[in-house]
Amino acid sequence: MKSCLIIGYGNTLRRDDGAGVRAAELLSKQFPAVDCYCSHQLSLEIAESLAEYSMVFFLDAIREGTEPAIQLLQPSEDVGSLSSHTLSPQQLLNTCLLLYKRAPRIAWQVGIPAVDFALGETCTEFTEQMIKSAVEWCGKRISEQIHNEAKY
Amino acid sequence: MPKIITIEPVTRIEGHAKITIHLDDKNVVEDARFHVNEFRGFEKFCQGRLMWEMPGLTSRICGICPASHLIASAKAGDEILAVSIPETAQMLRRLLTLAQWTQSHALSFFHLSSPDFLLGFDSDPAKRNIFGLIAADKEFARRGILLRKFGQEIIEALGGRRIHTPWAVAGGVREPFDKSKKEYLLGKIPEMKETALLALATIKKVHKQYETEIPNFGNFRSLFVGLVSEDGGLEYYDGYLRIMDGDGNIIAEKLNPRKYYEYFAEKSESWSYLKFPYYKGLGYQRGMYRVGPLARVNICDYIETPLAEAERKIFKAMAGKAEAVNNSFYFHYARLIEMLFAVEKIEILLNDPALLDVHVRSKAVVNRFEGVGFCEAPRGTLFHHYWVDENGVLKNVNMLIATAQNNLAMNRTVRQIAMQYIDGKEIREGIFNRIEAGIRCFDPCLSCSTHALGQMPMELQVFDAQGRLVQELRR
Repeated sequence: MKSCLIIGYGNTLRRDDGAGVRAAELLSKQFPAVDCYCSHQLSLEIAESLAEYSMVFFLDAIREGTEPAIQLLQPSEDVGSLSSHTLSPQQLLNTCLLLYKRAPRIAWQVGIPAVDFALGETCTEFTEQMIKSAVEWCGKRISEQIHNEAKY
Repeated sequence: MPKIITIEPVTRIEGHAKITIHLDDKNVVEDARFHVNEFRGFEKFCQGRLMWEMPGLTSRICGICPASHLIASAKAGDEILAVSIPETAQMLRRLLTLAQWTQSHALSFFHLSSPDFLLGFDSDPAKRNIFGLIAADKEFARRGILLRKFGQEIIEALGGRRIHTPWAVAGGVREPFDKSKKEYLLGKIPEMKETALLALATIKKVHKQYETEIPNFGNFRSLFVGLVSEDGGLEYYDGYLRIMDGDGNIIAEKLNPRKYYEYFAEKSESWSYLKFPYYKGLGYQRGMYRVGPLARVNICDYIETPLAEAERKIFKAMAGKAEAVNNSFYFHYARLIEMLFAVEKIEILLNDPALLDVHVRSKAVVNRFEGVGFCEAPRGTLFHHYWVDENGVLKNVNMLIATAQNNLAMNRTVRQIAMQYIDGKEIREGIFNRIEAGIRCFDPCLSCSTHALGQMPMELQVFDAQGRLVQELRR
């Protein structure tokens, strides 16, 4: 099984909506050996790759909050019935488990507070700070994971 | 008793639309309309941009078939530069087009249409989608998802990203093919062929299962239009236009696609943002034509890959006395034949050493002030027409999109299905779904075909003869 996967998603042409992609790119620079995937949105095609990892980070912008919202997801075999256009990290994780009989043991959903979704390619100063916090938090978890794997 | 029945939004298609069904005083279906509520405006706001920006800009029209816009736009740019692109660049663009066909056709069948076939037209709407399919038949769903992924991986291998890759440009493509990706992709081919063949076996079972319903699923004669190669083979990138009638007679061929405007005109109706193209030779309504898989498999003389060609012969044998298969339901079958062809041809291209040549772009300045690019998008023939000044600044843009060309036929299909199933009495959800399923045969991409500025609220409304709202539903 592979170690960590970072998934950043959102629209990089809609200012803060690209926060997840931006954070993923920064983490990828910090940890070049860790796999990183960036996209406009989550899609079912990611499930196959997801099944190969023991840890995953889902990074996306959220509309509320003053600090990154972090949630540990638990996979189940209930895929729900939402549209494939609005696939959630939980649904993707569940699809992975249902189709491949395995899913990352540790799945973090990291919501990065965002305020401006107008057309544009840069994030606001506020969201840049949030991205920095999210990257710092994720970076610690990734470092721990790498350290633990090196021990064993 | 209600006189107008509205289905809105139409589900499991790309883009947004509604259907209205008009009853007469005896509550018999008199007419049915497919309304497209989106308006995009690319043709207008691209004026003043540089010609070189257009592949990147127009690929943003759509998230499902961006590669097709990329190719058509780049080809329009080739014309304006008056260049002949390197052979490897053409091969790479062909590979991109086939990858686009693979992922789009896989999406259409596995994600959008097969839930109806495998779970039933009358099954619970909350589960009649890809997630319901995953729960009901994991292996089938998994294979479909992986086939779509395969197409996307090729696109990513070529252009660096799966969607909106800015890789095809006027003169060729930006980068040669990364040969390190070749063996990985070739390794997937056997499984992808198996999946395509599984899909074909499935649709044949569906044909038997729904044999009483299929005859009313958009079964009417029309013209069929598409590209064919020099010797009449299935074509997807270049070639000539061929027009066939419903009896299988070729009424026009070896038409230059760059002169598309000499053969086709567009009419507007007040109730839809999607225009109504028609063949000028027969006028509006009589000049209705279909494009896309059903048209392409009908009009071609052969398919160059063996498994797909064997399927094409079976397909043509269905036509009976007529030489053209006219029933819109068989769009699905034709689409799957094309999906199989695409996988077979991808294997051939990947194995061709010429694919790895590094000469992939011709460079020139503006040498013509007008250029038409064309290709076969998954949904049908696509045209990009640009007029520029001496600096390459766009003065005018026209795009003739595949889905628009199917508009008259989509409306006819909806009317036929509505007439079959609606009798003024109880209107079950399954009947609405069948009407929507008629649209899904065409796999329309409404985001492409209307160029939008915003969307109307989505709801279902039923009006009585006096125009009073008597029922309102939301999906």
